[in-house]
Amino acid sequence: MGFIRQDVSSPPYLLFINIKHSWMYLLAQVYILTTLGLTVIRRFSFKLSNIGFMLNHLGLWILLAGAAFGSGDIERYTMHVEKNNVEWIGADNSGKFHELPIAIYLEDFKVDYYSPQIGIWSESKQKLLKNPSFNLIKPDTVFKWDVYDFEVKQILHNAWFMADTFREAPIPGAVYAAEICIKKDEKPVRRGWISSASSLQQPFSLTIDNDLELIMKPPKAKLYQSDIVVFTKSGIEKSGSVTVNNPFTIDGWKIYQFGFDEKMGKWSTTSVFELVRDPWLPIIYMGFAFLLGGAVFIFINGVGTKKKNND
Amino acid sequence: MVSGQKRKIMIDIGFQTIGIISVGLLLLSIVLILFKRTKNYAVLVSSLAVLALSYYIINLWIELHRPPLRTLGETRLWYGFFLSFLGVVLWFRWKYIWLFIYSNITASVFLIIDLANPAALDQTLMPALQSVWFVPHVVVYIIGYALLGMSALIAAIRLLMPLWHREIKFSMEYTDNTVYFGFSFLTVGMIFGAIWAKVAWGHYWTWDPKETWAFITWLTYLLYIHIRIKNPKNEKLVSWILIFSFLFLMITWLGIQYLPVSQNSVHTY
Repeated sequence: MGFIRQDVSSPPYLLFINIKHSWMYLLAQVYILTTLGLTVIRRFSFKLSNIGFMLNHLGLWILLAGAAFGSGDIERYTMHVEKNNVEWIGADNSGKFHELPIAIYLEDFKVDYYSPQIGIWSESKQKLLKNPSFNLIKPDTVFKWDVYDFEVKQILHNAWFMADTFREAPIPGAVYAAEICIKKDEKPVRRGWISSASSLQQPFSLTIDNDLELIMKPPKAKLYQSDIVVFTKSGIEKSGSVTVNNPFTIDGWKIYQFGFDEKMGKWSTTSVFELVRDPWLPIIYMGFAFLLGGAVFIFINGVGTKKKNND
Repeated sequence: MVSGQKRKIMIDIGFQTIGIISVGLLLLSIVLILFKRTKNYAVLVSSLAVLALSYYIINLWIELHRPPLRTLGETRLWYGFFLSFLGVVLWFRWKYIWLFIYSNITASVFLIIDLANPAALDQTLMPALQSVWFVPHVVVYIIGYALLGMSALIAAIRLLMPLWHREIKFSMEYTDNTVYFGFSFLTVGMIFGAIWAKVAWGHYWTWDPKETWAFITWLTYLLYIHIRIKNPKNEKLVSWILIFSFLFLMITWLGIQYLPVSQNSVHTY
């Protein structure tokens, strides 16, 4: 949490590494809900001068109460779905499998990457230099750094190393590769390939001098997307796509893009979803709405003590 | 089309120039405000710095094809921008020279740190950050931080004045107001973050280290507000609370990455 890494699988009597399941956490929850609840009751009124107080205190109470009582009703499962397959078995937190009321058919899964980047590795410092960092967008461009010119000759997006050169071959395990010519004072120093790595291929780098090496940085993901069709036991059928930050909502469940087969990278045919049902969510959002209103009130009016004296 | 390197040089020079110009303008406005005859020009000069910074931020946003809010350096840039902006606004509100000087000096410090660490151009934005909540969540927080930084300074001056055998001439109203403004921004930032977390990770609150520290910070300001209501006479205590709250705020914003827990935080950058 604040200082100590938490481990939810450890027994609750180890107070500080599993504080959320300890008696202290429960006690604090009960204490806050009681005192805050009593305070709200004591000053309960819908008078205009009291609106800020009510929004903030009642809002916080609703939020905390909803979170405390609702935490037991939250259901969350992870589900691995293979492309062109239907799955309705999900694993809970402890890895136990359950038959769920919804099934997911995976039509397609894709990963998009940003254009690859070149960096320079320093052997003596044992780290990647902060500058330069070049985006490989198209061939026949020149990057300048220090005394060097880096000329990009070719860029391959699905490259395989075959018979001492890289060739385009869009099959699992392919990497980004680029042929670069390094020049110093207009004279070519070195020419060769650099590439990123995959589970099947080693990365290639180009030595610049005794210390520096030109490398291709690991590609950065831009988008993970699963196109799915979802069926519920109640007979609803709905299709759509799920990306990070865009969960799929059906019948009280939210389906999140959770992972994929990382070994396969963009060739993954498995998509991992997280399915969450939290029936108390409307209560939580009501708490949020109250607190947002309360914050606006504080912003305009302060905490209102002065105003009240003037009234 | 310009090559990657040319674009990068453009951006670097852009910030070197605009950063130095803004810092220069901010420092100049501090000098101007100290003299009666030039006082009125000070606000004009620092407004120019605010304009220069907003021009740079807009440019950077367009150039990067993403909101410039991802790296610590970028958040420092916004902090500098909001502080100098608040300096101008609060000058019109209260006409306090030291508040104006503080906001401009702090803004300059953050801009100088950025000038000293030119960051590499990096357009990438991981999928989890590609959300409509990204900009409001961070911007609201940074405004809150800027306001609460001011409240800590006012509190420190209150505590120091008796040591300098000076009478405290201003009432608690100023810390109160900056805390109320700042606190409402913290609350909004936290709720925006929670709503975003629900959309991105499936739960609105996961006790991530940054969340935990943001919550602690929020609670200490809540403590200030309640003590001010229950016990308005005890001004020393609340001034100390503001100083400690700001320390917590700094842990939340900048210190978190040095804690061992940050390894499994979604907020490390």
